[in-house]
Amino acid sequence: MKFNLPTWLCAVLALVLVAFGLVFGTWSGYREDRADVTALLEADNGLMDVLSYRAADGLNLCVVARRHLGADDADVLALEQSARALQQSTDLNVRRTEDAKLTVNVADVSARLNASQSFLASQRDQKYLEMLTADLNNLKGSTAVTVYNEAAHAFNQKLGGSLFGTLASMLGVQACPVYQ
Amino acid sequence: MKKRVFVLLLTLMLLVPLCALGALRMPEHRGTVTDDANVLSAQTVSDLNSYAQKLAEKADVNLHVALVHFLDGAEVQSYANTLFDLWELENDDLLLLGAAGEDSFAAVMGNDVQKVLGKTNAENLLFTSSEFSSFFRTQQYDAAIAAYCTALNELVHKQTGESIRMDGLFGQAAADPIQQVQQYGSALWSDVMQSISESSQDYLAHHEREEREENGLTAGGWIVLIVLIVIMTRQSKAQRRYGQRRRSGCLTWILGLFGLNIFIDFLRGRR
Repeated sequence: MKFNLPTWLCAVLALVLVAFGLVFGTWSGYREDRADVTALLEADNGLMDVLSYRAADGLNLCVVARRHLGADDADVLALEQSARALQQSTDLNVRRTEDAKLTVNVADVSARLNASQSFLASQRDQKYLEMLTADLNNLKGSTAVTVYNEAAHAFNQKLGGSLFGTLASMLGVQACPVYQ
Repeated sequence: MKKRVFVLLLTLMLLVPLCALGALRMPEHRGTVTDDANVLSAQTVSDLNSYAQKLAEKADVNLHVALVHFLDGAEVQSYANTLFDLWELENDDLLLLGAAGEDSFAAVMGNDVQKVLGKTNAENLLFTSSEFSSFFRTQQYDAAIAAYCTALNELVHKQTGESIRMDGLFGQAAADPIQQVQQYGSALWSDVMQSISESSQDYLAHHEREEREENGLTAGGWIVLIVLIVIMTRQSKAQRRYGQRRRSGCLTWILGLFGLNIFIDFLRGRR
């Protein structure tokens, strides 16, 4: 028995397949692009780790500061609180806020230390403050921060600024959180 | 694409220094002595290596000494335990950890070492059985190590009957006054910064390569496209020549790209 398939059905089939290819390709492509950007955030030594190292330096500074300012000093406690919050949070927006607080608290504690006689008499702790401050600044200015920001920004622009990007958004691909 | 993502992630993982664990920066194992804080003299490091070799031969205890500046907010015992696991130390290993910037220290030992020395006895070496703690807290690191090893030697002799000759080891350390930290810097922190930078650069290189590849058709793509057009044109001519009736040449081609022409031909009884 011969089975003639009408042209319109062939056309519909072809269109359906092409449409499926477009939709699936868009979704998987954007999803993979997002995974690349997310790796810059969450992979080892990504932005999240950089922020954790900054928190760790804040906690290290607390150890030095307590030798001169006392265990219950308000500035040291504030520094410890912001460092712990920065270390423990998994939300990038919260981490951004806590990192800004950390920067302020580090400056406060450093100023207090530089006004402390026992600190000025301790060459060792002066060197430690120098070392920790340098590391905090290195981490803040590290390429992980800028590269992630640029990648997230570029991805979000691509997602929001094209037809396929809009399609990908409708299919559940979310924008990347921007750090700065 | 998936393969490329996998390769990227794998590369990022390999770039990580082996010992950056979560938020804790931990030094890589460098043998008997891992002095990231640069607080031990070359003589003490040499003496420690000699003593550790004798200890392993006589008492089957492998001694490891790790010195860092800071503990990144962790408790000293917790940091030591994590380091013991990270370095994959085993039952016959004894790890002595010191954090110079925090004046704190801890020891971790495997099960066999606990059995040989006695857990409490071995822990007491840090506090009551030697002057280690007082030396360490006053930044006399060479003297602290000398005191620890001397006390450890006595404990080994007491517990196993084995006698390890010190042969003048640590003699200089005991005589030295308070030491200054020789170099305020951390190879570990520098390595971490380097890894962060390399991870970012690797991503940028990967991204650039991907953009280049996706920017229009590659040479191979153009060749394939030309071949397809040639085949399509020749097939259309052949169809006209033989008067073969098809519903639509172009659509057949579109379907052919998906391999559906075979299926349709099968349904139409041509195959």
